[in-house]
Amino acid sequence: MRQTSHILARIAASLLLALAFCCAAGAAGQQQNLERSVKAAFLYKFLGYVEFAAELPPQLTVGVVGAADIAAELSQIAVGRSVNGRPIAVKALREGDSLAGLQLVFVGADVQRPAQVLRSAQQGGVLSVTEIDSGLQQGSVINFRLIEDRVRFEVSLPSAEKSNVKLSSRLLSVAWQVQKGGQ
Amino acid sequence: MLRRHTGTVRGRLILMALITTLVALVTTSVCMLVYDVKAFQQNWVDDLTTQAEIVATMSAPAVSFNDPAAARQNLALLRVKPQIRSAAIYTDAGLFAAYGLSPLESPAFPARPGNIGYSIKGGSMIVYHPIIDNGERVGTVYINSSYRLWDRVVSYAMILAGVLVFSLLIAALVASELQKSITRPLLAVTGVAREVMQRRDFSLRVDSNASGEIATLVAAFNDMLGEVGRRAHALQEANRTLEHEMQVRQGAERALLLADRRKDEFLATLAHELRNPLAPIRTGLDIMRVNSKDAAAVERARTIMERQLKQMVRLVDDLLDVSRITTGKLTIRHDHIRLRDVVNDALELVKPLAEAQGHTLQVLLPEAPVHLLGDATRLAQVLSNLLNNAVKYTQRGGAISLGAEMASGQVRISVKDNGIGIPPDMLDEIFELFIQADTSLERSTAGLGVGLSLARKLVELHGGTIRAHSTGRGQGSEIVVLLPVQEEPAALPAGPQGVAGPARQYRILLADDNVDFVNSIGALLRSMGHTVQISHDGNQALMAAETFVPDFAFLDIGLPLLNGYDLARAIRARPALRNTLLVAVTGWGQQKDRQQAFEAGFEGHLVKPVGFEQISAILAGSREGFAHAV
Repeated sequence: MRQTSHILARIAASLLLALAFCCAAGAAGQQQNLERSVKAAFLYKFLGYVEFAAELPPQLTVGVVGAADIAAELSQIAVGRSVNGRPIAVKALREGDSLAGLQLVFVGADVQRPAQVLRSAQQGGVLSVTEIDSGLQQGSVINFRLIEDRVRFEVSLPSAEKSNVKLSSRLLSVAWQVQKGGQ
Repeated sequence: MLRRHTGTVRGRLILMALITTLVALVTTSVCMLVYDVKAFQQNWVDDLTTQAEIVATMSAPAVSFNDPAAARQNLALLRVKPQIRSAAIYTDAGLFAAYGLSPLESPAFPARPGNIGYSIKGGSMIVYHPIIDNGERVGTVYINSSYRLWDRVVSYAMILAGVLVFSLLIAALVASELQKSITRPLLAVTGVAREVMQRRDFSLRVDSNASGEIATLVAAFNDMLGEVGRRAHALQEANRTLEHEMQVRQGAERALLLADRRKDEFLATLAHELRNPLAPIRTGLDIMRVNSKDAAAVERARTIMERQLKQMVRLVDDLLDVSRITTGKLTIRHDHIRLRDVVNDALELVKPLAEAQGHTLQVLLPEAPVHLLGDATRLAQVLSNLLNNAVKYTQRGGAISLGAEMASGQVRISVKDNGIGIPPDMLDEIFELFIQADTSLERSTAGLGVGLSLARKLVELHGGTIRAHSTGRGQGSEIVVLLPVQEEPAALPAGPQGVAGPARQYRILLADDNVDFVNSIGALLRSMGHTVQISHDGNQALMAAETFVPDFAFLDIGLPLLNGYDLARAIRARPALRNTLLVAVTGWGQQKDRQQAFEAGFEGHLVKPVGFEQISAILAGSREGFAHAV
């Protein structure tokens, strides 16, 4: 546990250092890699700041649609970890796969029709996370953005309400932007 | 100064209260200080830990989601606590967010976070607190706060010192008020004690309304004062009594010395007076022996001798009276008498002497008879003494007068002369025993100095007074006697001698070892026709009495072989001699001698020298001086 936290911390630290000091041009590939890791870690952490309306199964399941690298990263992070005493399982999905049994779904940037996935996520009470600029407009609850070379996220409270999930105010306090009702 | 002040009870009490208070306060202060330091530190640690916890909790998402801005915002909230000088959040990578109280000085932050917990360095306290997110430690909160324990201790100690000083002041005030209830009675006691010592006044008392032991002390002190006062007073009284007694004793001693001296003088006078008549008597005897044939010369000598003898008898009578005065045995009869008779008796005694001295004697009595209650013989003795003095102390050919007049229920009898007079300072003293106005041995006058003393005693026994008046030496003198008068004479007594009846003849026993005396008396009685038996000792007298059976027996007390008392008892034991009248004849004339004689069985008591007329008076029926039993 402690060892894993160190690993995670080291990853985050190296990511931050890379983000802070590396030139954008020289190390684009490495930066791409780092970004995927950070996003995977964030996905894992989101689970700790979310309350689900439906009763939770003994194991939390995170679905990753159209982003195999993230799924792989997350699977690595999830090994031996748990949230609120529940172990985490990672499922790599393709477009059109059922979202049943999931608590969180990540929709990668490569997905052709994310709105569909997001809609079904809303219906299924699954917390949805996207990484496209129009993610929130498409119906996502949390959307990753790159702000000043940092991975940040924005939150849509109406989507969260529709998805029947409650986001912790502590999560909101570190969100880059929070969309409230009426949008 | 301080020693003197603390020496008093008041000082000690206040000091005691102050020291007690000081000890209590210091102990309390130290305890409070220690406790406060501990509590202060604990509070501070708790406080900072809480702050760190809050920051850690708040900043957990910021660290998790890599948001240093949010973390800085959270740290900035520490601004409300100005003691926190700097704070920071560390991740594994190093400093994540920092906060400094003062924007001017950039605080120095440690490169790596230290161990969890608190540490105190210099004036600051540093706390490291972990940031836990989802059960994982994601970072560390660092808080650096100023920690002014010393300031705190100093200010707290100063407050305590202030409280201490204030408390001591209050304690001193309270103690000085409270100690009064103890010291005031004590001061009162010591004050009174000092005053008592200075003024010796044991009537002083401590006035106090104290209670408890102090009251007991005050009461005991007062009681003690009272006791001491009583004893001192008793001692003074005893001293005064002793002093008085001493004075009385000294006075008595002086009086005794004086009396002793007077007695010596009296003895000298007495010897002189007794010696005086002896010379003429001896001369008379010589005349009688030489000129026994010359009847006229013998008669002259006999007259001289008789006169001198009378003088001696009078002297001895006076002596006996003096003895009666000194023993308080002088008694008088209480008969109804007439002044004129008394005066006549007195004049009869004095006239020859007055005429011999060539004095004129004038007598002036009231016309009406003056009745008195008293002893005719004794009153005559008084007047004759006074007249005798007047005759003696007046130059030849003087004028002597005796006057009597009624004055408010009393008769005032005055005897006046124009003789040598009496000095004023002697007017009262001449009535004292053995006092004579002229004490020189060469004086022309004679006397024992008992006449006036006897006269005063007798007058007093009659309920009267006697006083002397004189204008001075050579101016003559006047003695005034005041006697109560009896208004109504109950009955005029018969003449003292009574009517002399026909002379009877008696059988008479005389017993005396003085052969001359008893023989001469016996011869006289025989010549009167009586039958007389004479004995010279007691046994002879008893035998004579048994055979002779006398009507009268005149017995000497000092008889040889059988004394008068035993003889009388023996005679009284004989029934045949029941009717014999026993008369003691003795030189012992005091009352106790008379009483002893009466107890032995005598009816009569005659004191030597016995005149023949006394014996013939008894034979005639006179019972003067006899025991009351007869």
